[in-house]
Amino acid sequence: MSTFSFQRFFAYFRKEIKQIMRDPSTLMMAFGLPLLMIFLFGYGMSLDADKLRIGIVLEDTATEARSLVNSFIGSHYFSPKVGYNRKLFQEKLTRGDIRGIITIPKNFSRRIIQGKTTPFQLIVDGSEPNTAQFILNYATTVVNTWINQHSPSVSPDRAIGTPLFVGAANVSVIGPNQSIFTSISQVSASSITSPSIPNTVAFFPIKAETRTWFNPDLKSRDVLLPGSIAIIMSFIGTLLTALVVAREWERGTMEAIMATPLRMNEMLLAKLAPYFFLGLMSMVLCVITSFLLFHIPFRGSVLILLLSTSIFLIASLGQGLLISSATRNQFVSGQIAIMLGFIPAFSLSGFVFEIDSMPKIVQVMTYLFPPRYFVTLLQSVFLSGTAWPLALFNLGMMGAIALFFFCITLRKTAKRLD
Amino acid sequence: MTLKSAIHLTNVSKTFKGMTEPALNKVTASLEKGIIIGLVGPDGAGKTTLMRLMTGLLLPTTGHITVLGIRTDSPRIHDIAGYMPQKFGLYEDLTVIENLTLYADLAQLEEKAKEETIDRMFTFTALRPFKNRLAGKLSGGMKQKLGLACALLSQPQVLFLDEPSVGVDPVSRRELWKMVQELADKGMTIVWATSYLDEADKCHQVLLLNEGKLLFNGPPQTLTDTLKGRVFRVKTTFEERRKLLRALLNSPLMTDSLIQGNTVRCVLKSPLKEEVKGWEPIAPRFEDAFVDILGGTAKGDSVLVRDFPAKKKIKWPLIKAEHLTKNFGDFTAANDISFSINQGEIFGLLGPNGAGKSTIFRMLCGLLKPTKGEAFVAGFNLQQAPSQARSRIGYMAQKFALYKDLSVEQNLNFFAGVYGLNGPHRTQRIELMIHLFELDPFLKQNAGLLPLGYAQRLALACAIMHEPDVLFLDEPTSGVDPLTRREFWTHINGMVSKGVTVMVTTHFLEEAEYCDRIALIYQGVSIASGTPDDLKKKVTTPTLPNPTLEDAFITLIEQRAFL
Amino acid sequence: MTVWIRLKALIIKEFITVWRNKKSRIMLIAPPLIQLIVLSQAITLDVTDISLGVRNMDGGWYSHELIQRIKGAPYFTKVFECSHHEEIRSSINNQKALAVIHIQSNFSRLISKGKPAPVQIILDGRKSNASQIVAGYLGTIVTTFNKEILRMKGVHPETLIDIQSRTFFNPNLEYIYYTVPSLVAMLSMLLALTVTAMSVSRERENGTFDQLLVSPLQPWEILLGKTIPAMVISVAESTLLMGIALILFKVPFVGSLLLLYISMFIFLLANVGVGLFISSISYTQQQSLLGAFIFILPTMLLSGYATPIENMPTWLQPVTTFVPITHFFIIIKGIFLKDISAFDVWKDTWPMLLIAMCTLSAAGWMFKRRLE
Repeated sequence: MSTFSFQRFFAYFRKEIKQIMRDPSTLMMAFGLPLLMIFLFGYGMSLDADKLRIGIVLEDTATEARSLVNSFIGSHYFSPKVGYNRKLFQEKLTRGDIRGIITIPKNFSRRIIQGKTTPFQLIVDGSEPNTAQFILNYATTVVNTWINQHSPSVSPDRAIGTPLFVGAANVSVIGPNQSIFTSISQVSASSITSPSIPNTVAFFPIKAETRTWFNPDLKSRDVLLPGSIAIIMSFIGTLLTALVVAREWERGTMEAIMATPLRMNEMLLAKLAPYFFLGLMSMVLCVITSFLLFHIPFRGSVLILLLSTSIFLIASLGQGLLISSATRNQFVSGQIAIMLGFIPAFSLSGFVFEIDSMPKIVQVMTYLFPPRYFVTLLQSVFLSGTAWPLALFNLGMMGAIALFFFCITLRKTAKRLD
Repeated sequence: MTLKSAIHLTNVSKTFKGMTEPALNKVTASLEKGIIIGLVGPDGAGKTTLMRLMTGLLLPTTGHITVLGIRTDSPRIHDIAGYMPQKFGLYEDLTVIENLTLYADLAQLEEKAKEETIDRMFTFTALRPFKNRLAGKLSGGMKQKLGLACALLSQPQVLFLDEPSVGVDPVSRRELWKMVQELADKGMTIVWATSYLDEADKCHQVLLLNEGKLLFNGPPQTLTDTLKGRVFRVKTTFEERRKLLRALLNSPLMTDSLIQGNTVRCVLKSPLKEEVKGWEPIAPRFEDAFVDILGGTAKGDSVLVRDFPAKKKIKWPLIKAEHLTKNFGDFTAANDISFSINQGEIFGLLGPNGAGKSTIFRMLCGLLKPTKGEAFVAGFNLQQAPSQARSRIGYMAQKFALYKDLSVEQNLNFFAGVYGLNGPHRTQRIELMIHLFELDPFLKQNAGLLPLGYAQRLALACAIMHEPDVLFLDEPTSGVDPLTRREFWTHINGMVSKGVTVMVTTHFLEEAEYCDRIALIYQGVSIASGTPDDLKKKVTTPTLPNPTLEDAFITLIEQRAFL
Repeated sequence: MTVWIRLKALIIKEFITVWRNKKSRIMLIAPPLIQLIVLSQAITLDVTDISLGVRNMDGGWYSHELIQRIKGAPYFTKVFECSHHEEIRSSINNQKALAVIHIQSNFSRLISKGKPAPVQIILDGRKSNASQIVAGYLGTIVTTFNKEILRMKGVHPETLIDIQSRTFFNPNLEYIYYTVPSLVAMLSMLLALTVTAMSVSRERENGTFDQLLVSPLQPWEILLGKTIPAMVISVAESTLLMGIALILFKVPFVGSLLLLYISMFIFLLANVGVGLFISSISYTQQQSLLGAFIFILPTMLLSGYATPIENMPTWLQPVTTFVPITHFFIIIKGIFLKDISAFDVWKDTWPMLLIAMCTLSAAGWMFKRRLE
């Protein structure tokens, strides 16, 4: 048995490079697709709801009521339409033109001046649960801010000391079936009569101070973009190699190559290497674009970035190679690549959807897909800087998966036709 | 082990997963060193399997193979063997020189040796002018030469070529043979799998496989000699030749008969006891022996003849090409082609690879729009033809465009439906096709899994089920063994006798002998036309008194090329 | 009559092609079902099972009670003590905890004295959505506790504004009622595309397309012959997925089934049109695959599937009009949860109808043009 020959390796490697250079669709996949995707992710994906469309039914036109409405109009969270017809707004809500309706009742201003508890009705569209939660949060924030600003004029004796709703935006987030915490009363559409616990204005002894590390403004884009890069890379990595071995089988070149002295490990490495560099270049492209266009911070070490990208690429390219060598058919390879390369990366990586919140069995599944580790690594490297134990664990797991794929592929592509 | 033998097969069997019958069954043979060894047999006999076993790409289920003393399960086999698979194994998106460099490096040639070897290959294959052309842009013949060169770069001691001449025109085939002959003269052992038996004739040793079993192993002459005194040429006229062929094929004394110009070549089951007038004894060929050993050809009357309704007589030509021209960019694929084909004629389009045959063919059946000129079929211009017009043609393509995932029955049903057959008529036609082509045992099988011969029958059945007036055949028998080919032509001849008009393209010149008229296409232009004998006459010289159609083809092309 | 015979042959052939091959039969049913079941569980912006670090330097009753209350809340399943300061940093950095609560040593003393006592909540900004929600949970617990402390001290705070919130259509904000209809739409779209996107290019590669072109079939017949089976398969698959949504996931259905089917038909037609168009312009299956991807990716991102369209920049929002599924998301959720009117359905149906007509006629035209 002869050992690894660099001449054969480089010959095959050069061949792959030439084929890549000549195939516009490969270059398109490596450079066009990531650019397109980073644009779409960068502009198209955001969890920061602002300018939420709501309707305000104004039944009271006195100063206080209008002042509160102005607070809503002035807030960047909302883009409200003010009207007097509740029914019209309800139709709009059904249609999805607006996501919430606020009703300011008739004697609102009078009761405020008198210092009496004043009802303030908020209807949200439950068919968009996330948006609904945001509207609840933000509306509470706006109302609290308004109270804090106006309470001196309303009842000056209350305006001393700590504001009551510290971190108001967060106080009233309601999860499903969480009635025990509610400070906002939740009344279901079917039963409006259930009791409501009022929001209170008084001096609270405990003051919660929230500090958000790494991303103080809680910009979702800064979090989503590094995650998106991981998604893009896993998609491209798998797709790049998913077709390359299958193509050689379909075109009959595999048979000829197998009859040469080329060893299987030389061939696999030579197939991996060019796509590896191509992948690295796509990565650089993604990182630079996210810097220049979307101004996301970079706080970690370039070394870790390079290391994690490399290991991740080997894992996902290896996955592609494995699919390709196992199916020997471009059509089936392509389909499997979609199923394994994109959908799990998108849904099971923790990039938007929190892994801890998934059922246990789904959580276990997430460990099998390398994007999970890469998403964590990238989010850290961009936002928090190097956290070694975290980095090492994730690098280690990805490395193990990469090794696994490579070994299986090597076994699958023994130099035989059957 | 004698010094003379290069390859030893010891009791080799191969059974594929999921198959009950072995693809190769206890083959034992030894192949001599330094000669060309032909590997022949009907489709599905196990030729490719044996090739792959000998190159170590498959391992035998039982038994073992040694090549120059190396067992095929050792990776060292690839250091001494060169292999050219059926599709040549070229990277179509690399240039000629890049392909060569790749294979040279894979063979681990030193820098200097590499240059020299590649240079020698350029001289050897005459591909130097095309050095920087993409392999995918080469013609079939050039691809084949390049494939050979790539397999030779490692300077193998044994060379395996799997059907190198399928789909390649006669000129290129001849050149390839010459090249391989040179190599053998220098001491290389060459195994050549083929379904062209004239090639087998020239081999020094032939292995004949059938259904995985080795039927014959030895010099081809040994087998051919068994037919001495049994092969004759019978003179007839142009008009009568098909009738005579049918009569001869129907005779119980006959093993095989073939049309050759205005004569019929026939092989008898046993030698004639006395001389018969007009029967000129001629030398047997290996193909005769091949057909003989496999049990002879089918009967001469296509069952079609009985049930196929005769077409109404039509005086005007059924196919007419008027100044057909097709440009692709600034490349002219067909230039001012005109001809007309009458009812009941078989018209052949011949020419080297890339000459423009397919372009003309596709324009005629409405698949391509001519840049200039017009094509009429059964009086219609198929470009704008209503669907009734198109229902009068039948079309059978090179790769048998059947639905591989559909069963035989479903394919028949589909094509019956597409041609608007309905009700009892449809049931009757389908049953007739099943009966005619003996498709019964395969009805539920996927068309993709049919043996080549049956796939071809099914394709023909689908093309003629609706009783077309005109039949288009695009290389219908490419890569098919002689027995299947003969049977195919029996059916075609039967239909022609009922007034069906046939247009055919082919690389296989023996097949062209069945044509009434031939147009020879070269570089987009029709350079010669006429009956097969007309073409032969054009090249008859004192040195070549009895040219074959292949001789005519090559000579005419060469004359044109030197112009 | 003959047209119908020809068409029938084509349609039957398409069905057999899809159904006869065991692999493609499995590909048709298994992946959508598995994806619906797994992804509906995975796709949620809810936050549960939170791991929380606690650094309590106070030995008093108040801090102890606060922590007990946090531990008692169902979300915080993994509450652990940070024994020293450095651990706060490392547990956030290494994502051991999503948030850490830090209580100073004078916490209880300050409360007893009636002075404001700070509690620090440190959040991991790498998970912006989750950390906002966690902060919300903690804030709620703190507020409730505050009220009780006041009550214990005999203070009864007055409420100035009582926010009464009602959630229409999905009272408990069940995430799954949102996810499942979206997934039904998404998976039906993927299927409609995979059935069609390679169907023409595969016939081209196998040479059977030529066979169709020389047969009496007209281009529009071939188009219909490809569209009808794809539609039947897609509608059947959508029905299956919807059945699972209703039976297994018990998603409420308040609207009109007829309206849903009409709009679904047009939605699927639009996607079949896109698939056939992609297929008709590609020479090889690989090109169709790439084409299908280039369509699916922006669709996933621009449709509002992962994040709401409202959050996109205004210049990007009009682009989403050209994505059929954007419209169908509105319709399917509208009909499942809200009982929107026929007029509202129509408002989002006609753009899909337009897309369907454009893509289908373009595909039919490409069949003919390929004769060049």
